Amino acid sequence: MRRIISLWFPRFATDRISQRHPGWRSEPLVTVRHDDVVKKKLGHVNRSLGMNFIRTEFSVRVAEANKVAEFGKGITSGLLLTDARARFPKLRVVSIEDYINIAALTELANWCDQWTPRVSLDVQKDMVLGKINYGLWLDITGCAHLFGNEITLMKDILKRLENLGFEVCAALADTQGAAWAVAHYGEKDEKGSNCGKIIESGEVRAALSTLSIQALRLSPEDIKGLNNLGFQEIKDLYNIPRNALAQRFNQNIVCSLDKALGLQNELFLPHRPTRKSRVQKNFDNPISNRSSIITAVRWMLGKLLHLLELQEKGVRNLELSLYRVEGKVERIEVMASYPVRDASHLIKLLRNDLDELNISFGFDSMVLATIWTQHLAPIQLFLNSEIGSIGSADISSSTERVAKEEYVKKTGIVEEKLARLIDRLRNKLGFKTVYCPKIFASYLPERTVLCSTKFDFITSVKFDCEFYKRRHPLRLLPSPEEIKKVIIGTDSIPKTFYWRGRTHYIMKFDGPERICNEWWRAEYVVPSSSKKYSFRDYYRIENDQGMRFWVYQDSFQASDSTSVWKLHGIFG
Amino acid sequence: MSTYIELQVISNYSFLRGASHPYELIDQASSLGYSAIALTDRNTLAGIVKAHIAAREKNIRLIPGVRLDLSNNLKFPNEHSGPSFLSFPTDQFAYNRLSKLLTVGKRRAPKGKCWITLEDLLEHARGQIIIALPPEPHEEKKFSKMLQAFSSSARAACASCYLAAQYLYRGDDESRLTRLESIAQICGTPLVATNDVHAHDPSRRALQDVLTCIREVCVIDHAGWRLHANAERYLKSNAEMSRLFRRHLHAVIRTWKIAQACEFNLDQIIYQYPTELKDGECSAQIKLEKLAWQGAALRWQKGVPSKVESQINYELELIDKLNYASYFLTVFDIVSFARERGILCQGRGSAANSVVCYCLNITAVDPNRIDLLFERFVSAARDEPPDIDVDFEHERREEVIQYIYEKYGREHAGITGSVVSYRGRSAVREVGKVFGLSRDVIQALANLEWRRGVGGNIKSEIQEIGLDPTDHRLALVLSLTGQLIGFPRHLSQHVGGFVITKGSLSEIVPIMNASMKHRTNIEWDKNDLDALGILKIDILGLGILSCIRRGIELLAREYGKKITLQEVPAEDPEVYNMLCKADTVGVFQIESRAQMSMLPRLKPRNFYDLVIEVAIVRPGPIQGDMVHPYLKRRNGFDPIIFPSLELEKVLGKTLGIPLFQEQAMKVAIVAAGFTPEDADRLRRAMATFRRTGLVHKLRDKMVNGMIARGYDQVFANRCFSQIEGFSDYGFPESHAASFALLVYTSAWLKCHHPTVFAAAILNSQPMGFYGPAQIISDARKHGVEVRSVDVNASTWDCSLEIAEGSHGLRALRLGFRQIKGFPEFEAARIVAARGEITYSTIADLWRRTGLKKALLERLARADAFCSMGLSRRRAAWDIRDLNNDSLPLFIANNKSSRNQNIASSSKWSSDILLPHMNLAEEVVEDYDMLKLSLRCHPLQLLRANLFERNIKSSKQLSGETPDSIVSVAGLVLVRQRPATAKGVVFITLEDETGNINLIVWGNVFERYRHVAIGARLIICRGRLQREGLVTHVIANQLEDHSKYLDGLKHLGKKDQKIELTTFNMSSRNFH
Repeated sequence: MRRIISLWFPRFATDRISQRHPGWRSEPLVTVRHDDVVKKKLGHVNRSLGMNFIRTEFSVRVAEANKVAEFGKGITSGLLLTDARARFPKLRVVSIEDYINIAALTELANWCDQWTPRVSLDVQKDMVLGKINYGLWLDITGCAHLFGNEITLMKDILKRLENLGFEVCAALADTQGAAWAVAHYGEKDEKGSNCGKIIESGEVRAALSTLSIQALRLSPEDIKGLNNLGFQEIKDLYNIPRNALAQRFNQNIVCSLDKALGLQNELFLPHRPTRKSRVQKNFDNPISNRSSIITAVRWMLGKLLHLLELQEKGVRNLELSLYRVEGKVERIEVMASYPVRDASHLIKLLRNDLDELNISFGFDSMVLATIWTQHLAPIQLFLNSEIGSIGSADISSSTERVAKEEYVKKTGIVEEKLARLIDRLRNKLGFKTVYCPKIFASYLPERTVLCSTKFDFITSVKFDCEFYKRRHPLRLLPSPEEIKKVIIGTDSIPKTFYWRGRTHYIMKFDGPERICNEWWRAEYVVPSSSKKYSFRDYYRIENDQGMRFWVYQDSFQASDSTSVWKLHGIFG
Repeated sequence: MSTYIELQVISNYSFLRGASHPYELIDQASSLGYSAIALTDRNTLAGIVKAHIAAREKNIRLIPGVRLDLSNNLKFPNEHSGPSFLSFPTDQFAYNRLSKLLTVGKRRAPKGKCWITLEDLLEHARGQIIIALPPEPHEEKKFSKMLQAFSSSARAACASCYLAAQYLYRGDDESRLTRLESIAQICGTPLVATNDVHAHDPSRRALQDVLTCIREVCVIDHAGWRLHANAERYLKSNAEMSRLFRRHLHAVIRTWKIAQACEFNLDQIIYQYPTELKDGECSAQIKLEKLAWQGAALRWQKGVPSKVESQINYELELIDKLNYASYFLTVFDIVSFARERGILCQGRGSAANSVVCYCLNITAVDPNRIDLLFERFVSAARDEPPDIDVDFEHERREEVIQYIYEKYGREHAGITGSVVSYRGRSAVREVGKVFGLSRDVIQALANLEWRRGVGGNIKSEIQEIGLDPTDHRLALVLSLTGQLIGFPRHLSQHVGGFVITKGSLSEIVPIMNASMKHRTNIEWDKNDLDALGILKIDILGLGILSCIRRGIELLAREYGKKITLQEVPAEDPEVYNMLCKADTVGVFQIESRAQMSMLPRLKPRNFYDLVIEVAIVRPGPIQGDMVHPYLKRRNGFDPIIFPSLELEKVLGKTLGIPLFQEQAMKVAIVAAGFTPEDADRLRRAMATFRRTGLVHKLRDKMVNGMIARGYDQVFANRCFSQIEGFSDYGFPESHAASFALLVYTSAWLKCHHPTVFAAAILNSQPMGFYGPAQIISDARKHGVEVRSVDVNASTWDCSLEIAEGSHGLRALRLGFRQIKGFPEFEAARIVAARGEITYSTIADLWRRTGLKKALLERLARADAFCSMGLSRRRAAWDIRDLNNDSLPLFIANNKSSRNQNIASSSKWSSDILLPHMNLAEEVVEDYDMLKLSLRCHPLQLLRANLFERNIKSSKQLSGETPDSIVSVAGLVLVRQRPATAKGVVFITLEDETGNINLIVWGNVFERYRHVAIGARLIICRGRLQREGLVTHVIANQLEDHSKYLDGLKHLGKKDQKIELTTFNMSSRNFH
């Protein structure tokens, strides 16, 4: 008979946060799912407003509440965040991605192989509450005696996990299903813990009998259907003929029941720790020939990429360490802006630095390791072309173009060629020096173009025609500069002004173009009592030397007596 | 005197574009010294009358106009694809054409859109002044060609053509004006200065941007170039416009010339009522007189009393004088149609309770019984149309409406429009979306009490729901919400006001399609029509009429008693006995809690008492503090005295206290020296505009007038506040009388035929104040046997069955309509397939009806298989066994295999013991599926627990002494916060023995807000108060025990985890 421990961390996310911030343990704390918070269109969290204005089109619900929140304030998972705030306005809210939790759970699983090599992740979404339950299964068949007996083993596990700061519910039984059921739905003491209940071998049936049928890991529809028929506890199902049940519901119920009772086998999929991809090559004699170094790197890269291919991963960040004979290390790091598994591209990136490498007496060892990898599924692009040729000019036939467009739609990878260029530029010039201008629809000139080092390959850079219609200078000053000694002529237009060390005499002007400030942004908020609206009046002016400037009068900063003039750009 | 006249103005009736009310624009224009101003909303005349009224008050001239956004073609119509023009009619005929043009555009487009082409415009251009709006700079070439062609054809069609130019601070205005000037010269369309006014003041800028975002469905941060670059589109002064157009001054002066040329104003609209004559009939008056005397002879078969005769003569004379005979004939015709079809109806309203109407069978209220004076409503002095509302059964009103459309044609008849405005809730929702708040935050904001307005109070409420009111974004949301409230959102149709004209209706006002199929309505609402003196007839739906018709039908079918609305025995003392006991659940109008507590105090003994009962529990009399004085006088505690002799005439019938709307008006006329117009303006001013300034002035005028004539100031103030109340919900005597008749009829039905009455109400749901559960528990209290829904006995409607051991008694069988989410046609299928042979098993039912399994499960959960001997769970178990794959037809085809199939499954099911369902579980299921339970009340199940806590039932309360402190518990039936009660909340609880009335004072309510608003089961501790027969509990402490209800299922099972089953219990909140 197998013996399996089910561990359940009812407050996995909040416990993890409290590990980092021990002080938060005593205050109400909830997490929300980051996926709920960030939705495509409006997706950003306005941190300055303290999560008051999470911009989403959807309601945000509490994913997990810590003990203080739950027992002290009655905030439970599934509650609307606004309702939770209504109960406790100073509630601390953290938004957290699911995958981060899963990664943390994976680490914990790795750590758990101190008790048994067979550990399995148990991540299940609670269909009713929409909450994700994090847990582990430990197959301790034949391991218990190494730690004394089952009781001491269980005590050891619980003690060490609690020392890490986790709230744990645990149970040990003959089957995965039974252990899970008791861990999640078994009796708990007032602290919410069940102290690791151990179901003796062969007593599964009795242990399960009084548990709710929810403990069988059924779908909400099945649970509802069973409840409607009056089945509340697992024992209610014991005496119902299996085929009668299966005919009225589905095989799942019978399966889960039989699996829990040990009448049917359940597959145990142990988790295998992942390793960092790393390739090392040692040389008997140090190599100092640049071309042989490159050949070696090429060979190592081929090996590394093969490893990655098996893991369905692509490189984002790669490090090559070259160990010099005299005891020094050269390190080369390259970054890619999308997951890559293409050797020729990576070699190109590496070559920038390889070409300038200080070889001196040569290297006797080289290590190529990935620092950051991302998922990259193997893709077949088109039947008659190879991977990597997207974006190349040789796509001529229209069917292929259509195929390419579809591929782009599916994967979101566009302009791979452009991406490669950017990668090469960045690796050569530095990661922060290459940026991408984007049009942002705003009347304020300084906000019309946003520069971002993040490349959004999906939306290609397209200039709205509205932008062309405006008669603004193409290049603006980094920030508007105040012009002094303005002498106002007729029509309230300056006649002369002083800027950057000289006085300019205005010969011609055109305008004004009146642009209102963006009243909804915090920096432009005016007290509601003042009825005036604030704006800038832009003029195009020409001085006596034929230089053309773009100046404006700012009514927002001006007081009643003085007017503020600024120079914002230069034409030509 | 200003030379500049703004000609391009849109108000907020150009929905989501204009940012000012018409009256704000007019006020601003008046303070800037304009002598006239135009209103040119986009493809609509909806706001024009409102502006007209405001302009009349401010003594400036409104130039009616419209901005026409044309579509380029009708294949792919789009209001923004073509050029735009302003169009101003110069005379009445031009106005008719303009209105017709809009009608053409609107009738061919879906609701809210208007598709007009350039050809349409030219076709209707005669007599218009047309101003073309300038294009975007890059389209100028194309535009100039178009304009050249257009202006020559327009001149050919006798329209003059201009080109508008604006100075909007776009940076290139000067050069643009020059270019436009040259286009104007080429095309022969002189340049006119306008400012494309969107708001009366630049401070509306934020609101303007928010409206744009609502229209474009975007967040303010991303709205970008969809907004205006600046807020220069406001009403500017003459000096400012002259400064901007200093190089084109002729364009400014030209506006004044155009304004001079547009002489037309809305008062010139000529409107004719259809004559209602058939061939061979010479005049409407003669026809009416003939019909009236014929009717009188029928009504008084023993001969018309002389008093009535003289009244008829008098009324006919007055009708003749005011030329309203045709109007009465129309109403008569509609009512006759309804009678023919067997649709119950009853007239009501200012002219409806005249003897003539009684003779014409429009109303059943015998004017002899209540002595109404016709003249009060159709007064010769006020040249105001008579107003007759006719109530029809709400389910069959559509037949009447279609009849009217058919009779007069869509060219001559249309339903009055109504303007749907932003209220607090909808406003904060939209503004919240614009600011990108998440849905739950918006929901939380929308749930606040917006009715009280955005005051200081809302801030604390916002803190309470966990938001920070000082956050600048939230502060913006709140202030903009406050500005948006009251803005018109879209046009809808009035519930049933019909406008009928002799000529073409579309020449007076544009007609548009309604969102409902086969409906068309006009752009003006009822206030607009009143202001222009256009007649309308209200064709309304009334639930109680459907209910009474059902009752009458059931009486005829089940008991063989044939009776009509008129034949109900009058003044039956048993009925009044019942009313005096406040036993009125389900009775029309007087079933609310306030009415019920009034009944034992008022003790109605005759019909007129009912009229008063209906009228007295209304905001008007309550706000005017007229209720208690009246009761005291009636019960003889206070002497009946009149403030003056002249008022004795007015207030004689109501013991010196004004209770009816027209009495209050009359007081203003008689005692304060108001002219009838003044009095009416007072009522209107408060009903429509609520502009504090005007109301204040009238208040002073009235109170001072009364004091000057020697009245007590307290009395004067009371009279005024009553008028204030009436402006919202007042009842004129005639309305009250018509309603009182229905009150009496429904009370009679309840008194003598409770079974029929209960069935009729249940079949007319949703209707009235109480839900099915209360109707049924009340019926059972009156000895009605109620039987549960059953597939072998029920029909869609509730029906009557012969009761056991019957002496002609009937039992009430609930219908399938009580089952939540069960469709009517499926119920019909069950009944049709049933015929005479009952269903023996579920498989039998399934085979014969082919119902889906989900519906069968619904029936099982509603416990509708009792007659088969199947409990809920057994039935559900059997349903799950029905084989999904084989359709009933195939099974019937292959009989042998079917028998096998059924036999095999029943073999399993018979020996399986399903868990037994206890009473609590059954009750929870009952409420879940039927919203009622015939088994027992949920509170009964909890009573043992409640008893431990010393909680009294409503029955026990009668044994308690007043002022003692008691605890009570019950399901929340009704929550009310009457506007008249100053923050007091009334909550009605229900337990197994009856109802408990809670009074929650404002401070207690604030403390227990969440409980008072959200809880389904409340435990309340408070002081007992008794007033006559009525017992209240003044709440001190409220507790939410809704979780008891959720836990009901597990009652008796120890330590069960409470599951997420919610006990469904609906209450009626804050109506």
